[in-house]
Amino acid sequence: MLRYLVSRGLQALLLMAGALVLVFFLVRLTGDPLALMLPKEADAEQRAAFRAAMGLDQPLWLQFAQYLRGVLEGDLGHSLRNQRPNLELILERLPATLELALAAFAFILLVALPLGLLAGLNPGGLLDRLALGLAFAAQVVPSFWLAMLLILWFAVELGWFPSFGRDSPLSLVLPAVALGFSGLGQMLRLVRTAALEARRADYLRTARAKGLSPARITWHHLLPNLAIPIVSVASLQLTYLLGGSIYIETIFAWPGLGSLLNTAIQDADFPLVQAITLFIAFFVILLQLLADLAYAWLDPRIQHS
Amino acid sequence: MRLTVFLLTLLSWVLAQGPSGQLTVALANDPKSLFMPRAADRTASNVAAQIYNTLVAVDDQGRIVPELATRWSISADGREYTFTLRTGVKFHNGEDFDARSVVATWETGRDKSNDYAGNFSLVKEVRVLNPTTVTLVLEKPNALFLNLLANAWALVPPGYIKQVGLDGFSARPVGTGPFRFVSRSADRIVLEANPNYWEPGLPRVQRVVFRVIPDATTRVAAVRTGEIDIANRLTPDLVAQLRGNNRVRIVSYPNDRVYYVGFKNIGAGKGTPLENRLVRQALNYAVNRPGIVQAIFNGQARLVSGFVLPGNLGYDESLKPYPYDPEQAKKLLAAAGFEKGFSLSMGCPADAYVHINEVCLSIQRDLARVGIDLTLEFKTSSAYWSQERYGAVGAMYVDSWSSTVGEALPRLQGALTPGAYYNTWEDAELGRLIEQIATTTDRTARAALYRQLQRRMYEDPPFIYLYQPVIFEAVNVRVQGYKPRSAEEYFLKGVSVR
Repeated sequence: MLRYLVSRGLQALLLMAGALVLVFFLVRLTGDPLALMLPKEADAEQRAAFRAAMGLDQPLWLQFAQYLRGVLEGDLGHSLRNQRPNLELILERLPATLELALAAFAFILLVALPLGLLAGLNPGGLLDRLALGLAFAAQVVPSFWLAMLLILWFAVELGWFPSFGRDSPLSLVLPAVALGFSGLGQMLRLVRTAALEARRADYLRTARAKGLSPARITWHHLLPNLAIPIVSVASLQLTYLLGGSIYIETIFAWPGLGSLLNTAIQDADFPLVQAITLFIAFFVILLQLLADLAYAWLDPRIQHS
Repeated sequence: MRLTVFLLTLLSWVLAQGPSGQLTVALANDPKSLFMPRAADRTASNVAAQIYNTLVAVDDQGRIVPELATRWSISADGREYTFTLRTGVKFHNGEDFDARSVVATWETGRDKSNDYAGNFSLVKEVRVLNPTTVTLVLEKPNALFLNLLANAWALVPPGYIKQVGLDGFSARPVGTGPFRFVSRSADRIVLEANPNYWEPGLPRVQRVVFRVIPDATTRVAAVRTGEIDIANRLTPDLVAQLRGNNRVRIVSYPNDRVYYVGFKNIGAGKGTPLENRLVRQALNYAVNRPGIVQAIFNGQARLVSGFVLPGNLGYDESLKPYPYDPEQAKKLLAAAGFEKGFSLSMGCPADAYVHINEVCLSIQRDLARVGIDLTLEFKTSSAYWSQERYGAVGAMYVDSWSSTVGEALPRLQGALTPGAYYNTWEDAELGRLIEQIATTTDRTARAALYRQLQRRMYEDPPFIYLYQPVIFEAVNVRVQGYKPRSAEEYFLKGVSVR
């Protein structure tokens, strides 16, 4: 187990270093932040002063060295636009993004687990067709379009939920559904297929032969065996939900990392773009590492392969 | 007599009511700073302006009226402005307003870290004559100095700003204005009525909450549900959804902004056919601007004849926008020796303005009809405006300039003063006229100069003049007394909610 841990840990570190380099150089291809940070009327002297104050007049390698040192010391730089430390801004917005990602994930599980199980255990039935139809819809409907439809139906026409913001628990419903919907298809298919295969598995036949109740079979035999594929897909989906929330957060004016990133990109606030991207990259790498470890813990065969 | 008594009773009753209710206003983006010299976009200055007062203000008719200065005089050479200050006014933190605040405003405003330091550094000295009299001394006469004071010089308390510094002040601003700052978080800014405000009967709402909603479709939805009272920056097609809705009123007004195609006679424009006056006239005839306004903006934009707009000082209404006349364009091109046409490239700030991509494509198609092969260079806004004189794009480019002072001078200075950062058309005669306008304090003389300039810019056009956009806002019917101005400026102290 320790060897597996060390090897996966080293891989994760390597990935983080790659993300660090990529983020730094890619962000610099997007244009000069001065264009948006200074008013059109600013003269050459003001521009030069701004450039110097932000360290933009330094050679690129020196900027990178300073950036690297900052990251190692836990300093992700200062936002040009907000004139505050990036890490402070990120940590302020992180709870909203996590809340939305987890709510979207809960929505996926709440729909996909029971429906996928029932569909897989009764193939060809009405619920199975419904599940397949829903999985197809989830894959083809763009989430931003669904978001607008949800706002129009459930906020404007029916008045059941707020149309934007993060003001009450009800505010979470529409963005969570809009964000989670696109991930629903994959999870639904996975659970359905796993259940379909499990129907014919030896351990279930044995359980049935022992005369166990269907509920006991499902909870104690079927679900633990479904856990492994679900955990691996779940970690990927959480990754997607964290990254994919940019559009959804912007549409619903949800005050999370996605909307902060969107504003930062529009303003060419590249220290902030860099910091958020790096933060999400690190977060995702850690999440994957945890998923791999959980995977190994659930199925000890994995660490030896 | 009875009527007078009734009206007076009514007035005193209204005044005694005090502010009440909450006004919720949507913002299209998160304001950068609430310290005016750093409030680098209209959204930020619209929020910040509610917290402060200025020495003088501009009224709905464009006249300069007293605010924290009760009267003023200007020296004969136009360089010294002496103001008598209002007494008994207090900042939100209890500090008294007096001449020291004017000094602090000047000193903090011209700090190099501010986006608009230039608005303050044009004053070279602030002389305190006594606690209620100050003289501002300018480097050189400036025709728009009072407008600039009204727009930019938000007065700040010297004691507080010394205690918390500029960043601290930016985070928790204090002014003398109708509303005081309460809190700011990731998605909202909360202000409340200043209970000691010096203008009787104002403000009229107790609380103003600004909510950041970047998506225009969501802003419209939120007005329809009543979660938001005022939403701006809506497109004509979104506004169409609101017609017939009895809970929402649509407010529309022409924006003091000109869209245009710029020509260059420097850099990429040097040695091109654009240097020929007939070619530039031909291009003005060749673009189907009525078609653009009709097809792309649903008719909700105005054609313009130049950089001075209706309502601006010195507007010459005898100049009519160039008509769409491709035959005339071909004749002019032939006369200039380009009957076979030519090739050029044109920059376009992708997605930076409403429907701008479609406008660029239309221009390309129209010019192709008169034999001009235009290559479009779409760039993101940060790349587009990052280089001096639009160096990143070709010999022509699409852009716009606004003005907040009721005169065209700021956009003329920005686009046409030789050597200015975004100047691409160097014309010494235009430069001389602009300099004269900028330093002539007499309005009548200035108006005459504007007319002279317009004629010259019409006959020898440095641009293709495109259109002036119409702004749409959606306002909940419970909101009373809301009157935005042509540069999308909000004045919320007189607004009330039912």
